[in-house]
Amino acid sequence: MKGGSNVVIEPHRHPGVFIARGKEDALVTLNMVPGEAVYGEKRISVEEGENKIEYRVWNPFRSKLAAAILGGVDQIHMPPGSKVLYLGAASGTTVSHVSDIVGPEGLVYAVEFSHRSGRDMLNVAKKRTNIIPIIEDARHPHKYRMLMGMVDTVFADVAQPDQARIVAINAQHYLKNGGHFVISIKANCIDSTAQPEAVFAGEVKKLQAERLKPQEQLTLEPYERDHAVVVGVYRPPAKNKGE
Amino acid sequence: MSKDSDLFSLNNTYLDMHKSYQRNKNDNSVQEIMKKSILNTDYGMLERDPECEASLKQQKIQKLKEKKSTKGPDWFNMKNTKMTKEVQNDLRVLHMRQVLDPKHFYKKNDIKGLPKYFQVGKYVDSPTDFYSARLTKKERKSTIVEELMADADFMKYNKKKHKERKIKHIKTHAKAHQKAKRLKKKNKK
Repeated sequence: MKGGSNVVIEPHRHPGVFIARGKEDALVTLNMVPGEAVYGEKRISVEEGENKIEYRVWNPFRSKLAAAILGGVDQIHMPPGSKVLYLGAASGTTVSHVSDIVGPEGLVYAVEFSHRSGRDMLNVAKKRTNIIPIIEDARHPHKYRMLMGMVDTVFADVAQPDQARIVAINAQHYLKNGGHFVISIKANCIDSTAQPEAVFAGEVKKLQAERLKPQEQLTLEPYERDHAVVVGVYRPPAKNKGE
Repeated sequence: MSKDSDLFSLNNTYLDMHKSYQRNKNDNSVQEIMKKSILNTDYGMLERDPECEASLKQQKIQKLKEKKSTKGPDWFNMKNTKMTKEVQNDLRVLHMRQVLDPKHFYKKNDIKGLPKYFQVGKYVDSPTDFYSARLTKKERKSTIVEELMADADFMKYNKKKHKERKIKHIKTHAKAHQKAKRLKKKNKK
């Protein structure tokens, strides 16, 4: 990982994600803005003849999505060119990587309530044309309806007791039928007294009641404590039984 | 001339009726454009478009070749990099990296064979890095193998391990070893 050392970059199983193999492996994404790091992360430059491209290292300890990918999640449902609604964007560190993954043809709607961290996110969005920053409460999706279109995937990392309801209400507004959701659940934020497993099960029940059908759940164990990521589909098309 | 100017008394217009407006023969812009056209030959008489002269099968093969030359839009068209000897050695070292450093634990190796689509890159050092987080100018090499060869600690460890292995081999294959020794002597004589 030292500056100047050589690595080999290979495509990851997930579209838009790459692995840098050296003495240590690292998850990387193709930098949309070559020459700039967003939060002081390491960069890898590749010279292909004349044109230079750059990759940014994605730290799983700082990003739940990266942790989920390294944990072996089956699908993240954000291939290049897709539109993603990102709830709980914070300072825009993970958002910058999602923007790398969806590429110039994709879009990331980044919603953050806090002005303090929203400011940092705005600075990230200034450089990246595919991020639409929204400083608004995710509990009231109608307030930012003027900025939004239908999205393919909702990613939520809001850490609120009513997280399931927030995701459901946003899905009702903006998620297409058969679109997917990826939610990171922090057990402590929902019920700090109950067992984490019980909290996760309760949240999954709540999601199911809102027609958000969970397909996969995994813990982010070595990277985060008592966190789970739930991946699923919203209003899946009915299966043909008669035919 | 004067008659003409009476007929057309357009005071402020600059229309010269006498100038011939034939296309300048030196102006070959049209010819230049027509150079690229395929319609200037007896195109209509041809049986097949010369561009599509390859058979359907050949076209299909060509298309497949083009498709396989990159990893596809899902990975931003990562190219099928040409395998050179240096790169191949680097990839082999990566494949066997669990033996490079005794203090570094690696999970089970998930690399199967040599990759088809890959790129070779270098970590960029940032000015905020501390000295320990970057290589010195002398330590910088163009391949991973060269980096390892320049690493004194690694070479020392490697030599030691190699020696150990050799001694072990001698011990376990004592008979064969002695035989080989005798043969060597015989050949010398």
